[in-house]
Amino acid sequence: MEHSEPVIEKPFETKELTISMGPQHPATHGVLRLVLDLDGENVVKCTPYVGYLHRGVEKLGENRTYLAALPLSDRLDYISSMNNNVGYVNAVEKLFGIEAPERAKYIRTMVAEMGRLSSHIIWLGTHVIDIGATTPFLLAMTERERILDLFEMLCGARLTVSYPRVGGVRNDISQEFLDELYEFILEFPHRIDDYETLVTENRIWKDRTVGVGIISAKEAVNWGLTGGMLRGSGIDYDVRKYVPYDAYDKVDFMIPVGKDPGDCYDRYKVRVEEMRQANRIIKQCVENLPAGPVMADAPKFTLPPKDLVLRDMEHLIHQFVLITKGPSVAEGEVYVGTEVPKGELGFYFVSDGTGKPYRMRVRAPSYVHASVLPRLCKGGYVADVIANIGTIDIVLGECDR
Amino acid sequence: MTSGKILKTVFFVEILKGLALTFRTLFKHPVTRRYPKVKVPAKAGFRGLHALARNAEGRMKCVGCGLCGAYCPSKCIHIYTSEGDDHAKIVDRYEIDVLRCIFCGFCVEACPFGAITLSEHYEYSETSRGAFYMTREKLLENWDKYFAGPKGERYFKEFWLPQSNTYSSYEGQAMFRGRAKGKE
Amino acid sequence: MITVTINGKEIKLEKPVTVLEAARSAGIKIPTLCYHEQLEKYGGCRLCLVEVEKMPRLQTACTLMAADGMVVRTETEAIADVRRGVLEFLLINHPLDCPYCDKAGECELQDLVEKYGPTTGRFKEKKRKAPESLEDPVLVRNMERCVVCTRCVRMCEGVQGAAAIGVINRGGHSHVEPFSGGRFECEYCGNCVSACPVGAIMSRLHRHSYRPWQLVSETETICPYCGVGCTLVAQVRDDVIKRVVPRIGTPVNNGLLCSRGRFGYEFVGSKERLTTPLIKKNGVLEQSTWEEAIGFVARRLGELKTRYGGDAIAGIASPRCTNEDNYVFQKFMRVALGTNNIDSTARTGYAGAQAFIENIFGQGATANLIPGLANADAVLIAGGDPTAVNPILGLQIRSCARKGGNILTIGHVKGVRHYNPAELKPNVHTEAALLEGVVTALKEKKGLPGSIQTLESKIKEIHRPLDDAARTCGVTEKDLAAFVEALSTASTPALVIGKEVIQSAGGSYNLLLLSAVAYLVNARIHLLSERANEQGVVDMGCAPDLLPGCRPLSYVEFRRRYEAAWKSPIPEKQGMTIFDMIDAAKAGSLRALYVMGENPVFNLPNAKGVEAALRGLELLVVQDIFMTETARMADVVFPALSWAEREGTFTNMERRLQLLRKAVNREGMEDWRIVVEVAGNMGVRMHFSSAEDIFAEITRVSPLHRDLSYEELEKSGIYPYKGEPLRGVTGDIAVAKPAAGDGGGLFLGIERPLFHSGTLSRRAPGLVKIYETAVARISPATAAARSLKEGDMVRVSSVIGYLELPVAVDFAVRDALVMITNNFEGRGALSLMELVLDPVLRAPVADKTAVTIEKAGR
Repeated sequence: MEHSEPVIEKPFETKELTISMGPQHPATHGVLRLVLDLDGENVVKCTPYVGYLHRGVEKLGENRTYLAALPLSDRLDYISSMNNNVGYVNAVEKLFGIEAPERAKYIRTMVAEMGRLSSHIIWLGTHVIDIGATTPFLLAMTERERILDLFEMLCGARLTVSYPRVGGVRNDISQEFLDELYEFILEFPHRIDDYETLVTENRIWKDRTVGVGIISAKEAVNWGLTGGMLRGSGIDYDVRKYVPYDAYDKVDFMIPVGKDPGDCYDRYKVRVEEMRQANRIIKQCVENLPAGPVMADAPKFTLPPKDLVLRDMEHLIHQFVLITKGPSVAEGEVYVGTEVPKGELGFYFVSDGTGKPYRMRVRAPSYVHASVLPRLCKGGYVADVIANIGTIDIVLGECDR
Repeated sequence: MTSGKILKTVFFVEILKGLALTFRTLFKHPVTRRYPKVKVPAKAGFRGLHALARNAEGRMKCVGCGLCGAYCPSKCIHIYTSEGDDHAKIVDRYEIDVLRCIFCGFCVEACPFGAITLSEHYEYSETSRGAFYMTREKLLENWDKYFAGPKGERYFKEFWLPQSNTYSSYEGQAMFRGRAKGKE
Repeated sequence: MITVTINGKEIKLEKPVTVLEAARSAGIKIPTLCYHEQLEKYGGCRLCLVEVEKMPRLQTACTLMAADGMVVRTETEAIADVRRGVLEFLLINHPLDCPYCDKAGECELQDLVEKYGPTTGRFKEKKRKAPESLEDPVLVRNMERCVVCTRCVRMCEGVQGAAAIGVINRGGHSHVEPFSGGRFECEYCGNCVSACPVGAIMSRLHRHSYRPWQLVSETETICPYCGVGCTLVAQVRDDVIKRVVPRIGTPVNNGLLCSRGRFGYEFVGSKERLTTPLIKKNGVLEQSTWEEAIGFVARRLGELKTRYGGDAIAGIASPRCTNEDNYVFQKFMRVALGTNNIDSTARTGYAGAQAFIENIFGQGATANLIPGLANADAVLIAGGDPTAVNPILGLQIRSCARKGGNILTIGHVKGVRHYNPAELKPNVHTEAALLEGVVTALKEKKGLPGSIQTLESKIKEIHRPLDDAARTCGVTEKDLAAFVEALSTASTPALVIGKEVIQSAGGSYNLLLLSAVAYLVNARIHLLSERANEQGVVDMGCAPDLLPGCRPLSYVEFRRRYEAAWKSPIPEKQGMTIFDMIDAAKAGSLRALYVMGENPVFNLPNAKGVEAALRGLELLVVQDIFMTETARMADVVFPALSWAEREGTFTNMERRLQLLRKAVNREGMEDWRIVVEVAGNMGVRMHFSSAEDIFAEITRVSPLHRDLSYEELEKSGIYPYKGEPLRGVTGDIAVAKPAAGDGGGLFLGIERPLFHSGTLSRRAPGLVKIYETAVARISPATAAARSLKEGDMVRVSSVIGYLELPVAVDFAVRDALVMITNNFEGRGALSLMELVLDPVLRAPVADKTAVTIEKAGR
């Protein structure tokens, strides 16, 4: 019996491997899910999936009055809720056509920069711990704790502060707070030196970040990047400088920029320098803090003084209507962008003349930055994905809204 | 590559610098605290567990106007009122779903009577959901527990906002006066 | 074409309107307080002041007619100043009540102050004090809050026509008070409550129990009380209806409600509602499960059907249930049980009268638009008070009178007494003679139109000169002649027929005479309907001789078509009417009765007799929301869902189909679902999962409802009847002339009060507070003759039984009558009434029961 076995010559082929990174991965900073198509160690394709933390913040905002929707903004980028609050109230103030008093503006600038510091500290700590260094993380958290203590002293909450108000701030600051803050800002530059000692020149750090996640200035603009992501590529755009709000036009600071094209290391340098600049801004705010009221005298838009509500019919009525129906706003739309630690946070309102926004839209920098991840990761190694996630400084609360 | 750089690379200069910093930290006081053995008192005005205020006669200040519930961004306050025997409005139930609450303190701002407060108490973990559903009685109890004596009065003076002086400039505002004494 | 320029915007107007209306039509907001779109213009609050070029001073936009070329500005600094000033003045005396005031949150004053008012008060003086008036059972008046916009007064006088309240005192002391003092003693329509912009007049039913912003949902649905079918909005918090309000712009009622609609919603949340199915075990109703009860009913019905045949079983449908319920129920009776024994309480008047009139004029003769009444130039009312039976229809009659229309009444109609009606009060049992006289006179005046021969042949037989008629009826000839004159000169008359004339002795003859009048003067006919879906229950085929869509059962072709649609034979034999059923039950030939949402023991004449008859049944199944008199006797009681807890459609007296929407949730089954389950257990599958499914089948099967859908109904109510004659004129009009009147003595009359309608309203605390208990209403003459005075307890007895009631002396009652309502448990007028049927209409005769009245305890 003779039969010829067919000889199958199967060529050796490599298959792409698709793996899902996240949404429960410790290095994806929340519930970001990346689907990676891998050819060995090389990333062929990276697809981010967002929405695991979607809470419908924009829709919720449309069901609350302009005044009552403020705490929703705390929960966007919860690392720097103070900055979100400031962005929110600035947008609403523009819509209402009112302006906060000088002292409130200084206070808001001050606390917003504190928010920036606390956010950048988290970014630094998590970025380096993802890449392998534990010490800077632990050191950084010490400083963040001090900032949170200051927030607690300021308004009674540490994370979701809800401190600014439409037309000013919730309460005036105490002398104790001011002194404590001043001590902190005098000391903080030394702490930044410490982080730099540990990280900046470290060869492992440089190996992992230099030349990783390269993006040119032109591309960065085209991708809609803002904040450190944009400045890391050498473009000196900063909302605080170009469309100043609050007291930013009254303080002196510079915009650190990287080089074109920028990589993770450039962005690291930019953000570290931003911390120093933030420190400068706070120092100037503290030193130049003017005296005066902290809430605008705009009785049609801000809650009336508590001690008069039950004494005066007009105040009582305003208290009731502002709380139950919201202020009556002229029809129209408004967009205000502010510089938050992650980039440009924009609030867009369409008013239909009632006390609740007809449409509330949040331009979240994290969402835009998540979209650039495929571009940054493509062609790199799996390990570089981690560096890229760290460098875009994503917070999913804001990205998913 | 310059020779300096080569030397730095060969001798791990930057790494040694970092290790020196880590080593120095060894001799610093620890910044961490051994909670729950060591507790950190909350700062005055902390936005913690709710309490319903009592007036001078010891009765609940709340009249059930419902503004707190209307302002509440998370809609966690439920008030049920009815007509009492003397035809006045009485509050049958005042309930806060603490698990929904976001502790923004807006209810305190909304209340025209100063009836709802946020106490400095923050350790209230429980094992059942029911325990977090604060009824009128529990909330009044919280007042007795956390706002006893002059503390309650002070609370309204300092944290019940805005007050009429919030709108006007006044003396004694916090200002920068150089470094605080003893720290210079 | 008028062109005005407001704020630089050119507005072209088709017809002359005020500047305010012109501005609103162009979307320009002008604040108002005393203006209300349903009311006469007043111009009192001065908030709507505008600047008009070439006019020296600011003008009130609400009273200023827009003229061609007018240039108006509404937002200038001067106007803002004036508005601020006006509001500041209003707040001088306004109490700091917002935390306690139920209006806060929907208060127009609050909104206006927030938008246009001052921000701080400058007046330090003390505010005026006025105690809150809680004397009234359902309305609370707080005159500290009143801003004297007089909207309530204008509403009461100009729209409702009750004229119960007015502004008293002057200047800063002026406030609104009922003319009767503390209690309102009015029609309790509550329209003043919806007119009040502040919290000065409010309902007590929901006092202090919620704030407007706490309402979770608003559901637009249809009122469950009378046949007008007003649209109302049920506002709900935590699955409890907190309040019922009207909405401007809805069909039929357009922002108005009556006392029943507005204050009668509380029965939905009553603690007395049935919650679980009950089965009678050892003579006691015990709680059971749905499975057990449904299985039990299906098994027993099956057994009885096999043993005695389907005709030993009968069903009573309900004019309170939706079309869907009734459709499923009649299908169940015809398909699952194989019998046409199905009827409803519409048989007590509405169904027979409508069939009679449609037999003469063709189908749809009674389906006339209610708001059209306001445009009539004469309205003839016979047999009842439309402002009590169908209050919103009554308002249209008042509106007609206000516009100058003649109101003609046969008998005293209390609700229109302020409108100078031409009133004829015939003696008891002489209505026919009066109408004969009218017809004779009209025939001579107007001549016969010559279009309906059958009717004309009947008219030709009628002859009674006016003087004879006047003498027989005890009216003056002059009045009668004037009456005829007014009727004959009307060009757009309307005829409103109430149940009293249908239920009178010789009802069919009276109806014929009224039809003749309508025919001679070319009047539109409105048939008053006491129940929400009285028309629908007939249209759905819940009658022994009709199939859905009013197709007569006797026509074979029609029956074949339904048989094909239902894939089941339909018995040929005509079924029993509701009264036949009672007789058959008494005789023992009826073995089982299935009652859906009805209370025959209370709502049929000779209640004792009905009760005794039902006792002989082998199986009595009742579906209801309360433990009614009938349910107490039942073998199985199913708890049903009430009107607010389900979806479906009602057909109102205009034959307008309107959608009911679910306002609150409750565990349980709709009536139709229970029937479907029982049928399923008997092996007859009906594949319905929602009311919409049923409606889809109705529109497939019934020619009357062809091509309709919930989607269309969603927009607004629509008419199923498209003018297609479904039931031809039979050629002959059968009538039964009344026997000669019995002279002397007292007769029982059924009072139909504004505040009640049957077994739902007695569970609505608000309505019970207004009208607490049954009374025997007698005329002053009757009272004097028997030396009775208001409040005396009397015993009213008939051949059947007696009732002990307090006396109420009422000038509106005719001398020979004792009026008693049929609303209160154990004190229903029908329990005294003998059951005598009109042979043609098959409706009971209500005014032939002789009664005696004497002081109780004697």
